[in-house]
Amino acid sequence: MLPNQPRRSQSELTGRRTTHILATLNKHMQLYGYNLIELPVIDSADLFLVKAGDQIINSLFTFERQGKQFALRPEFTASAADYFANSEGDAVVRWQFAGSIFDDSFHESNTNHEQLSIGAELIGLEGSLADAEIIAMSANGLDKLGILDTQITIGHVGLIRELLRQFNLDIRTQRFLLHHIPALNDADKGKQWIFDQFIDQFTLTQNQSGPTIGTYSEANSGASLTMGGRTQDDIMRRMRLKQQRLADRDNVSTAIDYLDKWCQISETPEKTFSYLSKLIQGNAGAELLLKEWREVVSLLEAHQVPLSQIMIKPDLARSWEYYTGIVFELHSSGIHIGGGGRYDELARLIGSKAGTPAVGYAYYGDRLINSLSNTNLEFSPVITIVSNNDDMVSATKWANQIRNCGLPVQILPKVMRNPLGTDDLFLENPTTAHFQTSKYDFQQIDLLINDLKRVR
Amino acid sequence: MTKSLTLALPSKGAIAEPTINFLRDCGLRVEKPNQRQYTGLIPAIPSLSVLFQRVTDVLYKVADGTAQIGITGLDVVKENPHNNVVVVHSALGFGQCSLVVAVPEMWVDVENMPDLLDVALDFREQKQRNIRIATKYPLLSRQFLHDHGIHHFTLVKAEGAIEAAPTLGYADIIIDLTQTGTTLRENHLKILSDGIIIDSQACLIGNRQALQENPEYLNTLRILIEYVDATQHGRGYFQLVANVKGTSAEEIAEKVAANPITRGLQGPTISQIYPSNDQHENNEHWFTVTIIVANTNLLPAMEHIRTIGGSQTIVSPVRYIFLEQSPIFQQLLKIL
Repeated sequence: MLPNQPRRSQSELTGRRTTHILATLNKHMQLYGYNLIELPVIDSADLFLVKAGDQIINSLFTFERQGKQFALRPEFTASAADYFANSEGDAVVRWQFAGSIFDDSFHESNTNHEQLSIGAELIGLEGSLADAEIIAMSANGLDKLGILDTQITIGHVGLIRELLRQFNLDIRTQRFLLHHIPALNDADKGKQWIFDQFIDQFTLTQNQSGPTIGTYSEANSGASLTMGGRTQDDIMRRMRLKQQRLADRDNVSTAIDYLDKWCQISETPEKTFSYLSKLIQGNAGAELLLKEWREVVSLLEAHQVPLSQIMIKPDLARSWEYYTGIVFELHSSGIHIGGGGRYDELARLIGSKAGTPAVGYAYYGDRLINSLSNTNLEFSPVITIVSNNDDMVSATKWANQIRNCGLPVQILPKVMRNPLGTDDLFLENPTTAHFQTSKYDFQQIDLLINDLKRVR
Repeated sequence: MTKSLTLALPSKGAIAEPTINFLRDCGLRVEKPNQRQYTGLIPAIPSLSVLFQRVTDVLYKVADGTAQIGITGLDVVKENPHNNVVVVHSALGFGQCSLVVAVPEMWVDVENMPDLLDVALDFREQKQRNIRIATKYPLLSRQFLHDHGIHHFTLVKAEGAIEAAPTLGYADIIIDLTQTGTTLRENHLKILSDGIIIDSQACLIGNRQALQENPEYLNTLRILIEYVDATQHGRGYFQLVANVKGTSAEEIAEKVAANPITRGLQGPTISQIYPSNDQHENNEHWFTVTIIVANTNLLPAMEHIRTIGGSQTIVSPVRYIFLEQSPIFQQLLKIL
C-alpha cells in the first residue's frame, strides 16, 4: 500500500460515519429551526425514572454521592423537559441534541454501554402541526443520510386513554392497562394473563385479610395519630380505593377485551381511519383526537412523506405511561432506528405546576452508523510534510502557515516516510520545499498553498 | 517456612462472640494473647493467624488482601459486592437474620409489596414527595424496591436504632435486619408478607486472587474448611452403641439393617463381646452394634434397637464426620 493511502481502522471509519451523520442531521434540523443544545450527562436519577419507569430502571447507570442518587443520562427527553421547566426562555422552543446515552444492562448481547443518540424536541406547541413536523423531520432526516427504505409506524396513546375513560377506571388502573397492551399480542401472555397480573399487582383477592373500612373507621374514630407520614384519612382513602377496584374487576375485564380488539388493527392510514371512526362513533372526545390524527397524516403528505411509508398501528407501545398523544417508530430494513411521540405531561411530572405541550424523537445513533456501513464516505486528504534533515522547527512553521489557510497537514519524520508519497511536501532545507514537480521558497508559500488547493 | 494465612474475624457486634464459639466447637479455639491487640492465633492450625476487625471491615480487609479469608455476615457481603471476594461457605449456621421491609402497624391497608407500590405512588401524587425509607442497606434495598416496581423513594441512611425512624418522623418505613421480629413489633412495625430481601447468616469469605495465586494459602484454608465441614456434618448425627444378643454377627447385622433408620451411613459395625463363661446361654452371644443415625431419627432408632433385643445403649454426639472430600472445598475449587 502506498504511504499516501493510509489504512483506516474500524474506529476511524466509525468516526467518519458519525461525523457525517452528525453534520448532516444537524444541518437538516437547523432548516426546521432547531438549535443544538447541550444537556448534562449526569443528572438526578429521579428525573429519568419519572419518564422511563419500569422500562429503563434495570438499565440505568446509577451511583450515589452524599446520599443522593445520580444517573448517567439514558436519553435526552427528560433532561430537555427539565431544562425547559427551569429556564425562562421562549414559550416555544425547537431544540436538537446529539451525544452519548448510557445503558447499564448486563446481558451477552450488550457489550457497549455507551450509545449515540440524536434527536429533537419541540416544546410549547400543541396539535397536529407540531406532531407532523417532528415525524416528517425525523423521516426526511433519514432520506438526507441516504436511508431510503424507511417505514413509519404511527399510533396514538392519547386516543386509547380517551377510550378507556368509558370504563370508569382510576388513573392507576388505566396506566396499568396501557403498560400491558404489548402483552395482548404476545402469544405467551394475552388477555387472561393481563387480568391475572392486575389482580396480583393490585392485591384484589376477594377474601382480603385485615380490617374492613367499617371496623377500621370505628376503631379509630376520633383518633388523629399518624405514623410513617400517613394520616388515618390517607389509609381510609386507600382502603376505599381498593374496595372500588375490587368492584371494578368486571370493568377491567371488559376494558381488556376492548383493547384486544383495538390491537388487531395494523393497516394503511385510509383503511385504519375508516375502521376506527366506526369503532368510536358517538364518543366526541375520541372523534376529535381521530380528526387530529388524520390531520397529522395529511400534513405528512404535505411534508413530502409518501403515504406508502406510513403504517397506522393503534396499539404501538412506546413508554406508555407518559406519552400522551401521537407515538411513532422509524424502521429501516426491519431494524428499529428511531421513534418518539407527544409527552405533554412530562413537565408536570418532573415538577412543573402545569403540563407543557411537547413532542420529540430520537434516532439510535449506533444503528444509523451500522446502516451506513456500505456507504463509501471519503476522508479529507491530509498533506504530509517530510523534512530532509528532520528539521522539525522548520517543518512546523511550514505546516502552520498551510493550516492557517484551511488545509489539513501532518508532519512525519523522514524515517517514517520511506518512500515519499507522490503528494508529499518535501522540505529540502528550512526555506525550500518540493511539491510534485515544483520547488517553492518559504517567501512564496501563497503560491504553494494555491497549488495545494488546486490539487485537492 | 509456610506462608501464614490471615483470617479476619468480627471484633464486636452480634456475630463476634458466636464466631469464636463456632470455631471453638469446630476444634479451632481462638487465642488472643493480648485483649488490647487486634491479632490472635488458632493453635490447631499453626499456619493461620487471626485479625480482629469490625464486621464490615472484615469484608474490606479481605477485599484488599490484608486478610485472605474472613467470617462476616452474608448481608454485609451482598450489600458490598466486590469482584475479588468469593463466598467460600455461605451458611456457617449461626448469626441467622433477615433483611426485611417493615411498615407501621397502623398502615392496615398495606400487607405486601404491591400495596407498598401503591402507597409509594400515593406519596408522590398526594403529598408531592417520595416515600422515605431508613436503612443501612442502600444497595440491596434499592434493587429490591425496583424489582417490585417501586422507583420513587428516598433512602435515608441511618445507623443505630433504625426501627425508631418512623416514630421519630425522619422516615416513613424501614428496611433492616431482624432475627425474631420482636424489636420491630415493640416499635409498632410489621414485616410485609413478601418483604424479605435476604435471609442472612454468618459466612466464610476469601480473597479470590490471593487464593488463586498461593497454593499454601489454599492448603491452609482447606484444613480450616475440613474442620468446619466435618463439624457441620457431625452435628446432624448421633452415634449409637448398643449391646444386642444373637447367634452370629451376620444375624445381628441383618436385623439392624432391616430398618433404614438404623442402617447407618454405610452399614452397622458389629463386634462380638466375650463375656465370662457363666453368662453364656443357649449358644447365644452378645454383640456390640455401632451405628450413626440422624438427629431426627434418634428415638425411632432406639425403638428398633430395643425390638431386636438391644440394651444398654449409649448415645454420643458425633464430633466430626470427614467425607471422602470436603464438599465445600470442592465447590470452592470450582468457583476459583
